[in-house]
Amino acid sequence: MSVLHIDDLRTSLTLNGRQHHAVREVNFRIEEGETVAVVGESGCGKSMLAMSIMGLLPSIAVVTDGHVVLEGKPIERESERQMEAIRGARIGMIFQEPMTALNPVLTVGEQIAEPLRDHLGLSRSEARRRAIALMERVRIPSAASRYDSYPHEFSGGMRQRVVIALAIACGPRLLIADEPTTALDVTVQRQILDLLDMLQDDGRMAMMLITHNLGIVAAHADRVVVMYGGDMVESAPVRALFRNPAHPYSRALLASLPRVDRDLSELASIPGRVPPLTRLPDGCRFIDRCPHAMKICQALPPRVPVADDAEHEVRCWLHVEGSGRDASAG
Amino acid sequence: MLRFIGRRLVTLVPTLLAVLTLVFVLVRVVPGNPALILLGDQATPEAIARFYRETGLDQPIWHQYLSFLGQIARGDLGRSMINDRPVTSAIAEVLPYTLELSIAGVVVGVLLGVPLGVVAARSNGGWVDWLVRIVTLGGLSFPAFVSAIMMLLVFGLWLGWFPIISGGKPWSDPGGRLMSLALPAINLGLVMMAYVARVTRGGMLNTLPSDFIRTARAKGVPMRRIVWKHALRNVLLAVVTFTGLYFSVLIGNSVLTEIVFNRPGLGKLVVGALDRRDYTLLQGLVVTYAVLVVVVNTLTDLLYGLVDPRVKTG
Repeated sequence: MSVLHIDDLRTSLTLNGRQHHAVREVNFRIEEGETVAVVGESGCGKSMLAMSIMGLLPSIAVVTDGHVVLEGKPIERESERQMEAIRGARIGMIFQEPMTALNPVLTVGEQIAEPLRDHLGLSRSEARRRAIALMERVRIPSAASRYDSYPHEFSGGMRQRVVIALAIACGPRLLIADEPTTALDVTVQRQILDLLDMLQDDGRMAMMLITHNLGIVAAHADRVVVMYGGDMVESAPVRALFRNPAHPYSRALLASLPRVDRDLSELASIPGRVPPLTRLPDGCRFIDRCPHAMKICQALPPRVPVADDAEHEVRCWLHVEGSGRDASAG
Repeated sequence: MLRFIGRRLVTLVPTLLAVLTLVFVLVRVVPGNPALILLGDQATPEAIARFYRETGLDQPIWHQYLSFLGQIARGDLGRSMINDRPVTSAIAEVLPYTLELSIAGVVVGVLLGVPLGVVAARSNGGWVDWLVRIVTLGGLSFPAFVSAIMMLLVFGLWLGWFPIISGGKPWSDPGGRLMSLALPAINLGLVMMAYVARVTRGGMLNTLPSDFIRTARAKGVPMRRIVWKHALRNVLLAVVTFTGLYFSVLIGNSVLTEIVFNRPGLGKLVVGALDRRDYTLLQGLVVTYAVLVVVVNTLTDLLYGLVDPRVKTG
């Protein structure tokens, strides 16, 4: 049984009385101990996807179709009370901005101990002991004496460790990391990612790593989900994606990576920009920026396997047998 | 923390000195000859000279300044020009009434205003929010003396729940003292409640979309605790700041309440002193108000250090 199964999920936003799909027919699984990276430009629906899983969508957004299946049980229609019992206990989440992710007027220890008391029903002193152990586990030096410190007494990297400690406090089955290192400098990034790898190996935790950094994907993920404009355009094992990207967007994304063995005088970029949510095309959402756009692309492409690999899926008409020729003929 | 308190107390000294100097200068630049005002137009030159000698006004200005400071340091604010009573004892007699009224007003304002603001922010735009807005608008726009008279009429006269004449009850009868304090304190606190509710509402609306609130939700903290602990703790900083600033206003505002409820207090003493041109009493009152404001500001600073962990190191 997968830890997480995103089953044809659609999340819609209502803006000025009109519904727009911020997440459209996204479909993937995360197995125990596995790291799935979700990549894409800003505005591609990565965070909206994460919030759909957490049940923390803003009031204008709602899951309209499909399921978020956590360990075999759909949770997308659960009540707020039931979600409170799931968040922090079975799903942990860490965020992009460690500087603002912690409450400035509560001690870090208190913030780590809170989910322990809520979900595991620990006493105050028991929660304190466990919180200090967690702080040691995320490599916060002299944890016991820093339990009563406030967030402003910590550096950005140390704060992110605190956020990680409180996210994994109750031993969640799934950890969602939303750009966990984007706001940190490179050496600290490395430490945090290594820490996440280590914690995952400890507990066979499943991880959904949201990032736009393909270098991180290559080093830390098992599989990749490429998102564009709310669509999952490709999903593949990391090696398959890097070796044989199938979707024109994935190819463009990989081509834009600067490589040390190539001439760096010109950085490749993808022409155009992500259309705003209110002006997303009905069919393939990459149509306006795609060098291979065809007439048929105005219809939503189906999900098809790439090179007979069941693990590698793409949502693109180019890979549908015969459709390209039909479209150009018609 | 002790060092923080010590530092704040040390800064108190120059502030107080500046205030006293200002009072000293103000009294001396006010137009009009005090001797003529006191002794009348027909005073003889000898009488005027004797007055100058007795009040020390014939001394050089720096001498006057030093002896003024010396007197205050000894707790001596001079004697009333009207009835020759020591100013200090006139003030000391009514100061507790003003203090208890102001503190009770603040307590009413904060205890009612904070929950009201939180509830309004939670229902942002909903009917509860509108109701709170109407109530607070009423609190802000209703003149205090009108509400005081109405409260006296309804709760004092018609319902008979509270005594009509307040004050006078000693603290040895705490029930009676509190009952007589209730109506004036509520009257004084209602305006403050309206302000505090608005400050709290605005602060909550700013705080609830914060990243750290999202973190708290992501770890499964129930919404009720997010609002009343995680968010409110941050908003309290603004409430404390506002309360400190408003306390001074409250001490001034208490005049009307004291008059309507017929309570003794600094406000009534000021009105009386102005009425009778009792300059020494007035000067003593200005000093008292100034000291109160400075002390309240210092207390606010100290409280701020307690509420916000970031202040101590700063």
